[in-house]
Amino acid sequence: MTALTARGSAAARTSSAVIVTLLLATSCAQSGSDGPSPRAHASSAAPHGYVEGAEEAPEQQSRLLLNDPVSGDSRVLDLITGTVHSTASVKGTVRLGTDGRFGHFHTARSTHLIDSGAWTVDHGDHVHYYRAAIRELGDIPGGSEARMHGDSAVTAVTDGEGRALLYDRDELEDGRIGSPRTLPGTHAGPVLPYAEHLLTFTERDGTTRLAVLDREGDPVESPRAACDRPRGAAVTGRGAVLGCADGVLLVGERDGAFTAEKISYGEDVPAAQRAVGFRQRPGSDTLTAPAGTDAVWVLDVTERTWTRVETGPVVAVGTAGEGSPLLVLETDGALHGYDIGSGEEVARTEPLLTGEHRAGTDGGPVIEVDRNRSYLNDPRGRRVYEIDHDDDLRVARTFDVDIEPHLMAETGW
Amino acid sequence: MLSALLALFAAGAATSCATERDQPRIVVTTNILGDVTRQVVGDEARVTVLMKPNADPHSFGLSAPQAAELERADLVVFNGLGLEENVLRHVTAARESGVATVEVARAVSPLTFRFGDDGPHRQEGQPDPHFWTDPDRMRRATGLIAEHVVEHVGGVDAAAIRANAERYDESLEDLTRWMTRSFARIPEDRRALVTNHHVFGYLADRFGFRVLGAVIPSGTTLASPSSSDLRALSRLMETSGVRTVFADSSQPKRLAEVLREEVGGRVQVVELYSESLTAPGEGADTYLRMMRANTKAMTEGLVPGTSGD
Repeated sequence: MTALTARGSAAARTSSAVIVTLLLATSCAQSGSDGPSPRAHASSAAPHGYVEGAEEAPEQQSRLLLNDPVSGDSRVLDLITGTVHSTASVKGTVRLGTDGRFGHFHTARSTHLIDSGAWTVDHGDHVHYYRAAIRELGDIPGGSEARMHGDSAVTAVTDGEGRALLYDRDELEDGRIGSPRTLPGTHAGPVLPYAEHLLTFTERDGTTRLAVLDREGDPVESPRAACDRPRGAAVTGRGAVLGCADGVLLVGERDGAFTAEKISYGEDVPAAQRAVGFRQRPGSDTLTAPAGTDAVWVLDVTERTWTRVETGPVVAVGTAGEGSPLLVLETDGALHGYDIGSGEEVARTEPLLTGEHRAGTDGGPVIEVDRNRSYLNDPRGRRVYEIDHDDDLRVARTFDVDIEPHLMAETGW
Repeated sequence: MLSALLALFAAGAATSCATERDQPRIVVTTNILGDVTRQVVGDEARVTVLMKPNADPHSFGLSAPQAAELERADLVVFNGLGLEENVLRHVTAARESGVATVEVARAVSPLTFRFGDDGPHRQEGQPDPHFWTDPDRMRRATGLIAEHVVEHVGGVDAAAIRANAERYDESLEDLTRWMTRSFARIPEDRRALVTNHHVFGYLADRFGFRVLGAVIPSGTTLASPSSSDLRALSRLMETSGVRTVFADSSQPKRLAEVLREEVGGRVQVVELYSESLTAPGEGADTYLRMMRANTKAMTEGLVPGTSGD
């Protein structure tokens, strides 16, 4: 109906007249009767968290996005029903990311977006879970270096040169990519939507500093905080975490005012051993990241402490936090559980991976962790394992899939 | 552009349509209060309910024409205390532009949220908006709505409104009596609601129940659960001696089955209506039917073999 504005004025008048007639008829017929006014249905303003055709569910509707970069084959595994859906082929995927609902298949030239049809809306004292059909959204420009971070309103894409675009989340929810807004300036790190603002870094006189922008891209008052060589970002319940060479910046917000606090490693950490690829159970305040090839960093954001756990050669890491073990997939193909406090190994699975995997390989198996279960992809075995991380790493379910799932990301949160 | 057009022509439509122009308007946010308001108002005014059946009061939003309608109302009846999160700013805007509003939950002596060890703590101590699970408070709400209609909605027959309210008040009094009688069949030590619902605090307070907040194992967990997944819930069931879980689950049968393996004996999973009326004919299409359905489900769930009647 927006076509109305594009038509000639005579045509527009005709269309309007039709609407008036309809309204006259319906509003007289409706008077004194039950139900909302028929005009309500003419609106394009969708209620918050609502998508036509979406169904509210009593529990989280977890799904796994799977991709084989060589064949391009992509699947969505529904963890509630156990069914597998095929989605558009994406070849040459270097990373597969998600904001909990939308899947981001990054390739050297562009990023393919899909709506996984599973998500959560947090209302503070309670949450709502939704399931809907899986939808292809199409491609957005961006190279292999592109980083995407989104919240309930915007999705920010920062490319390798530090240029950033903002996509409207409402459009994505309606199944369209929409036209992005360009965020002015060059950004020295990935732009992170947080607390109705945008966190970014600007470089001046050789120093990289935190900058807080409003959603229009205009700077607002920002705490003075330097961050050398920013890389990696995550949002926790205690604030946004931005990786720096000497630790992380923890950025918080209260009543529109931002604070920044450095959580330093407390020791010199070689560049190859700093935490970059933060892994997190959605919503958790415990972050993990490989510390080089034979150890893992655990950042407790609540306690503001770093713990370095010595492990075997690391392929992938994760933890549910809150007393759950640190999960480390090692080159022996087995999942190992470590007590975060003592650093002791407390559990270990049989080798789960097919074939050999080298330490620190990017784009290999990952551990996706939610509150109840963890998931591990075995690409060459064409399988996904469901692990009960609180029950001695018991393999709860094994899903066979018809592709080599080299890349995996969990949605529904 | 389009919504502006519609609003413009809608206004035109209203004035050119005689029946519509003469009819005073009352806008109600939630469908539960919508039903009660209609009982009170009868044919005296047009009542528009913004929240659809089977919707969620926390997350439903308004279209631009609905928001405009709110601002033209003679009276806005809303639940309040933060319940209709996405509508409250529209209600505030209407009040600021001179529309009479009544925040029902705030006026019926709200309780504060209390949570056990297993429940969320973020709202502890905050006023609880879910007052409708106590039918006595709904009686006070009925009186309150009637007073506001008489005072603020021009052209209504005050005597008719008061008579409607009185008649409905009697139905609510009957409801309370019937609920008391039904619940009396549940031995005191079994009056415990093991539940993931967060709305039954008022009912519990009024009829002497304990609410034992529980985390219900989810769909992925239920596929292959371990004892630790069920521990919190099974412990609650063991300490309370209650074998019925009042919960929304996508797999209630599977949940009952795994709990039966864990705690032994007979286990039931029973769903309740909580924050919304259903569509007509679906079991809870009026406030009275919703309360009776829940009372019956609770009584039968906690005392096997009894019926609510």
